[in-house]
Amino acid sequence: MYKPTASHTGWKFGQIFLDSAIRDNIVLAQAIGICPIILAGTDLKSGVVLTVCTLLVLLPVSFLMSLIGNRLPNWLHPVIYTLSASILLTGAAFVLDNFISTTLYAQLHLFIPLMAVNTIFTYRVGGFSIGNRPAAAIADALGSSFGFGLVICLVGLLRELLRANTIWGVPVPIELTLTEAAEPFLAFILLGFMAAALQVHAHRKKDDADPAFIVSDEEVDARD
Amino acid sequence: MNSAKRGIPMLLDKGVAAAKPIVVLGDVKRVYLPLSYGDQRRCRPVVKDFDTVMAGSVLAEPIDLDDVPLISSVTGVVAGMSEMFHPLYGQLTCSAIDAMLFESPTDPVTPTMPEDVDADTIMKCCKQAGIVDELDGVQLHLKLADWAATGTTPCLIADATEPEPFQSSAYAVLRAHSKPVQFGLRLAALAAGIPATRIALQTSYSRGRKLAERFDPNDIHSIRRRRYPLFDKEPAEYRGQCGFIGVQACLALYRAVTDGTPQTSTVITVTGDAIDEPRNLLVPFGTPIEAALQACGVDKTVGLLLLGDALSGVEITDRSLPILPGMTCLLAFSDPIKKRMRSCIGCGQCAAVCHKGLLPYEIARRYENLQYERLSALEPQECDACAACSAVCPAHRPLVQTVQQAAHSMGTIFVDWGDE
Amino acid sequence: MEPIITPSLRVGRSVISYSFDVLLIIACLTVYSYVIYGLRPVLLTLITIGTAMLCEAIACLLSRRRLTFGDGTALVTGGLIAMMMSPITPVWAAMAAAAFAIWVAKMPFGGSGRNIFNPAAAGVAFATFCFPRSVLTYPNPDQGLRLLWDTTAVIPQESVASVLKSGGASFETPMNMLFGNTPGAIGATTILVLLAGLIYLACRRTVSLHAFIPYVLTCAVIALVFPRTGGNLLNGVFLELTSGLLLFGGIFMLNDPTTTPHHASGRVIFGILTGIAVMLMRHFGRFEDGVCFAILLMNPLSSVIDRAAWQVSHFVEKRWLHRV
Repeated sequence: MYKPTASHTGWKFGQIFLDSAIRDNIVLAQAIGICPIILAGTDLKSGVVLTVCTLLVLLPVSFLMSLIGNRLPNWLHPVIYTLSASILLTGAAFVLDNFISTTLYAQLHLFIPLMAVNTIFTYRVGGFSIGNRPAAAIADALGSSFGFGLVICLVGLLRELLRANTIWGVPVPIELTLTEAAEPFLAFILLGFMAAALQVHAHRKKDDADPAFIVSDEEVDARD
Repeated sequence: MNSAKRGIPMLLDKGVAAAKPIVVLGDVKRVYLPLSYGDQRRCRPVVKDFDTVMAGSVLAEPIDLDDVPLISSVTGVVAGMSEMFHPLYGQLTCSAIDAMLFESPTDPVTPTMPEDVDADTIMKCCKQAGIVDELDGVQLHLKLADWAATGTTPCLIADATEPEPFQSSAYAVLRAHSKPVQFGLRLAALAAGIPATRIALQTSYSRGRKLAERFDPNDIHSIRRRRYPLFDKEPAEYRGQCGFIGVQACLALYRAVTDGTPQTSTVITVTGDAIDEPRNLLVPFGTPIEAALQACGVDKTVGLLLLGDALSGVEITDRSLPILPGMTCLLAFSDPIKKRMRSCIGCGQCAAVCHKGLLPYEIARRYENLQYERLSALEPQECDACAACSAVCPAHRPLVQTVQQAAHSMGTIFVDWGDE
Repeated sequence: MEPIITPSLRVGRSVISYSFDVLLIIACLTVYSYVIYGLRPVLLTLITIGTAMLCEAIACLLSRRRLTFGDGTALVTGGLIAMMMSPITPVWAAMAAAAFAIWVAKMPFGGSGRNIFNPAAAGVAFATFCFPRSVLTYPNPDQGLRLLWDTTAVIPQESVASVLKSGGASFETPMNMLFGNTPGAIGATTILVLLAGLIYLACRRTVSLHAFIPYVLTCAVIALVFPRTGGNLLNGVFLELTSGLLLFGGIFMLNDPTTTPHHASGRVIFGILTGIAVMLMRHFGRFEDGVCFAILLMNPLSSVIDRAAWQVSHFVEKRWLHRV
């Protein structure tokens, strides 16, 4: 399992937030939660809704588990995640359908409850929040959701732009359209390149560069 | 998956050097004899500068009493000491001896098998003569003692196979001294308590077949395989249990038992396309490589100088290195034959030719990616460094080195990391 | 102190000769397509190869590495992509496919020899996804066309693969299929030239038949058991095998040394699995021919298949055959 690189045992609220959001971004660096982005992150509005759902669930569950998680047996943890996430998401779906937008709910109707079994909870809550102080857990939850939101909104924005030529439903004078089949394909490729860009820039402080590159250069030069 | 087909096709017909008789090196001016072999054979020198030494006199006494003393190969005057780095033996302290006389060893016209000698006498003669087996560079008396101690070896084989196109020193020695080699082999078997003996010969080319006709078929194990490596060097009934000895070591043992002469010279094949007259040369130990090359005539600039045969030879640049026990081939090529190394393309040729059924590409991949904990599953210690995989790789990768390093590094990883 | 062992007797071939062999066959296919369609396929091939070379050079410069296209693999990628395009594919589509193949499927994974996915298959998959109309419409070879830049006058035809997919019956004679007198990709219709190329490559040991024969047999068996055309069963199997990119993919992309298993027994399993995947794509996939997608699906599994197959065969050799 991917382990975050910064030390989280200290009282560094802002540092934890930034790390979870940018450096150890759950989608780009830890490869968690890719499914909603590919399948449901088709425009900006859906992206925002899914981010809000994630935040709504991750925050209380992280806080709760950091308080009592250590005292519960291991097998009980996934049960608690799923149950609490389902309850919270049911509430969120109800609010979305009745008070915000019915069409949006119809577009996302399956993916909101699907968030309940997303790996985000197992890895972030189980891997981080349980062993840490509540404030650190809250910071991590906020940071993870923020990072997830960044990625899904960016991808959703691009997909909306290229598929329907709109931003947030507002038409934009761009004439490029992609076929329906190409969309998820290109979204995946885009995610890959974003992950690569993150590797290059956010981890540039490390002294050792990518081992594959170094081996290649040396051995190409070695025999001449 | 039939491993009888594995290996690379190679023309094993020896060249000009095998056709001509053995030539004794003419005027030997200076030899460099080591006074200590580093950690392998630590010795204490007993000569100083400007001492006169006779051929066969002791130059250095061994610290470990099991080892043999280091003997001078020529008669001359010690001119000084020098340090040099030998690719096969490591850091050496050599004494430079200005040679006045070198007597090449001779055999009686009709050699006879020595009667009523027992194992202890043979071992004593072997130790006094300081014989080193040229197959693996190990002192012969240690090998004989090992075999005598275990007592389970059924057959002793003199390895004259030389499965590559250039080296022909064993062939030349066997052809010139057939009977002494055979008697020496029997003496060695007697000393080690081994009941049966064979001479392993490669008969896939015509000269090999002619040589095999000289011997009694019961004494020969002839190999007709035309692919490299020859892994059936043992007769079928003794597979997996035989001991191997070199042809020149057998000859030296015979001479040691009959005359008491120490081992002071070796026959080395000097060949390659940069040599005017390729020959099998009889040189005293310590002869600089330059002298051997000059004796055979170097016409063009030498692009690649190899010590050892074409597949397992070590590349050397320093021509003043001495020829020491264990060296039997010197190759000089005009073209450096350096090809550009690329990354592995995954053609699988290395796995297809490996006669042990290993996966050189995967071992190299795991070793280079530092996945040491997964190396043992691929069994790199089974590799016997035949170098068929490196020869066949289209990307010219040094596979055999990597597999050997992987085999040696298992279990000592932390030591390696600590050095960096 | 270990001596460094340097085998100076190199009996193997070089990487360049592998690429050269494949390029030779691609050249033969291009000449044949010139005979049928005119100059346009030749130009398309040359432009695609040039684009692939240029993209690899740019990528090497950007990542500050030595230029590596000297080993010819970029040329092979460009040539294969061109062979899988239609004769009336617009030039920009082929160039986009080549650029995608090099910049997304090859260089980010480490360049030549380290890529996981077959770049040619990835490029054609990209083009099929994004511009299906450009890539999958074929002209009729009987029209006696002499195409160059202007393709508006061409009436697009359905290839045999799309006829089979839509459930229709195809009346192409076997001779037409063998000689390439049928609408299809530039290099994938002339079965006879492809088979001759396969024999040449197999004799030169550039490809091994360990993957190809199980692949074709699996496809044939599945076509026999689940036929897509009514009527004569053997004719149906023959049409299935010779339509689309099935044989082309089996010869060139199934034997790519970098992305497919390296061990002989691994190749057999890989061939069988790819055959199953290709037939599944043909029956249930979105496009008329899913050979590229099937190859891309199987590429990441090749190292797993390789190791599992080696362990089994090593075990068998040691225990039962006593060969080691």
